Amino acid sequence: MAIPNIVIGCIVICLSFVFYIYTFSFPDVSQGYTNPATVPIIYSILLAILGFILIIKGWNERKGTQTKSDRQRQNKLVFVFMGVFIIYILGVIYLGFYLSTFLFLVTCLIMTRVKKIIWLIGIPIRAIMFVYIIFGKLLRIVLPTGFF
Amino acid sequence: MKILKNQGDCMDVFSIISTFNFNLLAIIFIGVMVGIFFGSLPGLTATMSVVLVLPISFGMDAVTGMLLIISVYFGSIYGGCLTAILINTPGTPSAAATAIDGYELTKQGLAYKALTVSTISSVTGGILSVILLIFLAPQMAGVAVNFSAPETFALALFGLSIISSISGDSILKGLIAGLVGLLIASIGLDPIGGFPRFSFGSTNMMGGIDFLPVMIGLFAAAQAFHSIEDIFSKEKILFSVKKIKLKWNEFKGLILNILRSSGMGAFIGMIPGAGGDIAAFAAYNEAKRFSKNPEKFGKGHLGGVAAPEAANNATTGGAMVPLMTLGIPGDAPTAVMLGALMIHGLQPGPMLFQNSVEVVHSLFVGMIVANIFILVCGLYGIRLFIKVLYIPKQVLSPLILVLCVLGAYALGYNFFDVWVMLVSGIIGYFMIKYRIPALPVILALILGPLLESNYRRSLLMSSGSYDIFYTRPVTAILLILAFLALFTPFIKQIITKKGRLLENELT
Repeated sequence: MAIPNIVIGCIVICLSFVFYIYTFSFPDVSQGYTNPATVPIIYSILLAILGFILIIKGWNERKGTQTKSDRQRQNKLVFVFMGVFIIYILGVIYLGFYLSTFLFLVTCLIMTRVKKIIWLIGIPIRAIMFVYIIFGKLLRIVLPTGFF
Repeated sequence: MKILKNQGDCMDVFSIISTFNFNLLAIIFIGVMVGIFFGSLPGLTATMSVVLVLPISFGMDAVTGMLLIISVYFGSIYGGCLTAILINTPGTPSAAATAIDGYELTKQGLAYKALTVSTISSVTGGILSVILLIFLAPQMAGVAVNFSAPETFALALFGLSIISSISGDSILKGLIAGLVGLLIASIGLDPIGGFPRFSFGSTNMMGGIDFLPVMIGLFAAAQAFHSIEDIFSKEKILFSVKKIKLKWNEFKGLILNILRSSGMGAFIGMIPGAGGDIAAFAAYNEAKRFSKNPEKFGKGHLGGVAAPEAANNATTGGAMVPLMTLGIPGDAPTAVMLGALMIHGLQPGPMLFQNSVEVVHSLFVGMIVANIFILVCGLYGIRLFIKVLYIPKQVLSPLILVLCVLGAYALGYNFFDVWVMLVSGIIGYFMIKYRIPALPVILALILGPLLESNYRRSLLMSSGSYDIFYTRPVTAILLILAFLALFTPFIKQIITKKGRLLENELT
């Protein structure tokens, strides 16, 4: 976890720096001994300190032996799923909830090597029916219909 | 038969019980079932469930209508623990603390036991808080209403200080996550002056980042992404479930924990703005502190399930105290109930106990009946709830992602919440990979606004002097507890490390 800790520490310091700099754009209005920037500045400073401590901790750990368990393997399938999920959300906006949900579920099942047609079609249809009855009809939640 | 005298009024037990006919009991049962369903699904909140049944109650008489709403409320608070324990996805924010040990127990095949403990603890907390409501309502409301900005600030800080306890092995990463959560909580309008902060010109950002889509993303979506990593494993079920029942010895060891957590929950529930989530985390922290084996918390300890569940359900009765006695709602669902009371011709406040005493006593009895139904539904429904674990990951993970989109969108019919959920889910996945705890982020998002607004109000009250934080007894006590809660885990870690070093040197 040495390298990830150093990277996380750097990200955290950058984040605190961004928030801190942004507070300069807040008006310097004294609202009873504090102003809009008071509390975010406190948080940013504390965060930067903790980020620095994490970097030091990571640096000290780097001197120790690295075992295989320390290396994190990126699973490509997860990133593909994330990409499909993003496309699904865009699909909900433009194609509507029900159609995009059907396509998303079928795609996910194919990607996870589900081969039986009855599952490929049956599960998405049952899921959509459940959502339609419970959320659409019973709870009257208006779901996006896209261009349709 | 008269069993007690309260300010000149008598409670005729038989006449109240006789109003509980089959129809009324059926309404309470249906309300509990609806509440459990709502509460178990992330994104469908207790407040939403109460709002949705409110119009249905209009056509009913006052007692029936109010009991329908109350039973939905109680059921939804309990329902959050089901998905928290089974799939590490809290259905309600107050169940987030339950997920810490509840899901660990599920991983060990002890989901049955965890659900049993959560059900019994929830019902005990709920019933005890109703009993407290009945006997102590006027006195307890007086204390809670005296809570001003410094006390609320100290309570919020105490709630945040337990980040050290819930961060597991890396307290440093937990504190970082908490501070990031606090920074995110400061996005939106400044609570005192209304100035937009960190909005980057976006009207959506000006409204701030709601913690609910973040919670759905960090827990549900992140967990779904994480489970995709080994989606091709030969195991068709998530975890095997051993039908191991709770033993009497195990339950005996939890009784004190449950009673203490119920008391904490009832008191915190009475404080306006402080809900089940704060009570759950505070109770979890105290349970860990008082435990003989605190190192087992976070690894599947039954006390880690009992404490938050007893506390969050105890807040239901506690939240009713200021609502009924003073007309001040204790949390968001009771704010909706305030409207419901008025619609049904009941004016909340001291006069409610004078003018509608039979209605009030019927509501008290109905609350206890609702908790009994939760016990029945919970214990007999465990076999059904556990079926979720038998759904293959290839099916469950995409379904969870669909529910995440649905839940995030249904919150406010705004796609901004869906994008927040997505970003939180992606970040949450990496947080799981790099062992950064997600709970502190949620805790900070919930308590951050309370912390900042009351800190600044306190300074306004004291003309800028910090004396206000240590000259008020309740504030000072809470700040000391916060300090202890924050630093005790650090000190324990240092002592343990030094002990291990010494042991290695000696051997």
